[in-house]
Amino acid sequence: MSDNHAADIDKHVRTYILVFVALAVLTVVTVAVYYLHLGVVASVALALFIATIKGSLVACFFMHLISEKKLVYAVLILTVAFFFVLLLLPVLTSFADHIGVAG
Amino acid sequence: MEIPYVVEARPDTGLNNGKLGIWLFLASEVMLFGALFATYIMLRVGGSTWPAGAEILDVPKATLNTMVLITSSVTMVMAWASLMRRNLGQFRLFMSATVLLGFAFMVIKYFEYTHKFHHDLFPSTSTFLAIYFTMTGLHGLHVFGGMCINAYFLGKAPGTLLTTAGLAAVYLALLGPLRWAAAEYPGFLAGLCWLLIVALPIGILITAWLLWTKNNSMEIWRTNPQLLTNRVEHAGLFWHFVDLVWIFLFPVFYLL
Repeated sequence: MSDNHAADIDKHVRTYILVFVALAVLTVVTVAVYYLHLGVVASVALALFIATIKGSLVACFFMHLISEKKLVYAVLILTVAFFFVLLLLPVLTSFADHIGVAG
Repeated sequence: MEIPYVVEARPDTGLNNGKLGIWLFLASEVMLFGALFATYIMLRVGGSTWPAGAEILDVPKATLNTMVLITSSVTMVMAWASLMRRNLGQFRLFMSATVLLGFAFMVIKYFEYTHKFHHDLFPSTSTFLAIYFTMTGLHGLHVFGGMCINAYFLGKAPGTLLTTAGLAAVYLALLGPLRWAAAEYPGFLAGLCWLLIVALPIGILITAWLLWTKNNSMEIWRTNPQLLTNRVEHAGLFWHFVDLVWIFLFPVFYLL
């Protein structure tokens, strides 16, 4: 292995440590925000926002998505699109007309 | 027989086959957990009431578990970086730490689950608990699976030892609440029997298989170190995905 390559890994490792610190801090922030009792809409939005940042950090740096081949991005774009369709499925099928009516 | 494209990239995909394979698998995993997240949304929006998770679940324990899993993701990626530097000793250290942190996560989860059972909180108690146990249970299963794969890369003796210890811990973890439940509810005695009849032989078979089969991790290290490095990277992608799922499960169930 060339020295150049080893230096590359050292740079990676420094990034991993930084990402770890960021994830730990954001975990504390998530819990701290909960104790502020902001109300349902604000706390759901904020908690999901922080979780998305944390998830992106893991995906980009630990999973190396920041520099990946095109095919992996293609697979993931398709997956994310279907994932959101899945999440919207209850809304798209107008569940409110059928569920919780009896209650 | 030489298997092609395990180290070098395929010209048409630009990836080695293992990398593409694990990403396709993770795509299917996204849909698996996605279906359950969609179920959660439907149950929550469709229900007339929804409990505050923090009043039922243990926020400090879950916060600790979040930290444990995040740390294990760092040790996992450091294990890969150690192999990139061709430093086997350091790899063993970080990989063992990853497996042990996974173990710590499961132990904390065990105390959480048992605490719920002792307070008569079962999956059948409420819709909230049903989806909570389903999703965290499936996630825990993924942690356990990842631990087995990671332990395998440590070589035959440590791999077999760690997996067997993990299996034994799972049985002990199941035995406690099941024995208690059998005393409280006679119907649960059947569950206890099922554990002994079905699960125990499966565990013994897994250990026997690990002892009998060839674990070629160290051999690969000697003959083709980049192949082991790639395998560890792919196992890492799975492990980080499991961490990523927990990052969302934690606020969704405990804090919202």
